[in-house]
Amino acid sequence: MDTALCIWLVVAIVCVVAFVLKVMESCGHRRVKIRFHRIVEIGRESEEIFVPGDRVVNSDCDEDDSYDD
Amino acid sequence: MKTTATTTEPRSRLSAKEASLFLATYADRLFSSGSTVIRLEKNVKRIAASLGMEADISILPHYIYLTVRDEGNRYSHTTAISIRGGGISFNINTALSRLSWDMADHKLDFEQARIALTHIATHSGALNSWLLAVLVGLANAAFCRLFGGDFVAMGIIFVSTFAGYLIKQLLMERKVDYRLVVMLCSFVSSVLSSADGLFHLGTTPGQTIATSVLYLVPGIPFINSFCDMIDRHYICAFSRLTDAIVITCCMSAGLLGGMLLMHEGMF
Repeated sequence: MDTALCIWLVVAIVCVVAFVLKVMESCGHRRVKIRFHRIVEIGRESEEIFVPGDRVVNSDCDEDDSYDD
Repeated sequence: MKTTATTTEPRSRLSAKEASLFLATYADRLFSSGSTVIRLEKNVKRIAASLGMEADISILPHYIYLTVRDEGNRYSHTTAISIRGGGISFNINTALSRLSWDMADHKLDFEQARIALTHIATHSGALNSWLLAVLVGLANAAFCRLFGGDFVAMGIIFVSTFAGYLIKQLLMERKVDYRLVVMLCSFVSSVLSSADGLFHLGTTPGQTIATSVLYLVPGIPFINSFCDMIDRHYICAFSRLTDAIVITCCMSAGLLGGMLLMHEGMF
């Protein structure tokens, strides 16, 4: 059999084993109720990304007065 | 965590020590969740101001030194905290930023803020790991399409990314070194994606193998390092940049190994 094909098969089998392992782990943890975060959530831009013109906060440093995260 | 007090502090009101310990924990969590230094500094100073204090912060690659002084510089306290690290999480980033604004607006007192910080630190709000693996697979498949891959290539990329990401999660849960994890996942994904050329399934095997490892690119550390550099936080910037380069090298090594063993080329 071709070497590349052998390697591919070994890696594929390892992945299948990992998948089974992950499924077993997930089943084991299923009893514990975990509160997952919402998939889609709307937040303020200022909480994530710097946007010029964000809320101004007075500080002693002049550089920091024009914007804030 | 190491702390040093410079003077004796009053017990009736919030002490510089309490504020310093709180802010050090806050800074650690925010930095570990992938915040830029400018955000960290602003948030910490904002909280300190809301408590009627001033804070100076010094950030090293593995430690944060924080000095909190009360008004008039009568009492001060310095805390050194080692950065715990952990995965980048914009959920935590957002929650901590929101906490700082709530304190600045005096919607939360110190005790409530401390409880909120503990809650944020313990309830990271992570997505379901299966859902995350599927979403990462879909995102990488979309990247494959953007780079000119056909629909067969997209399907292969989805499977190889999904498998690689599952292995990444398994190894990370077992505290395996992240660089080794990246190398292994890159190797696995590149070998699996070589099925396109190996079995002659699609018409774009080069794009398939080239885009198979994109989910491992440390994009946020690269962006943060440049943000820190622009803001003249050079030590932190170069530390993050070096980390990102090392991760990229590990990813490249895994990809190279897969390509060599599978006798595949990108172009």
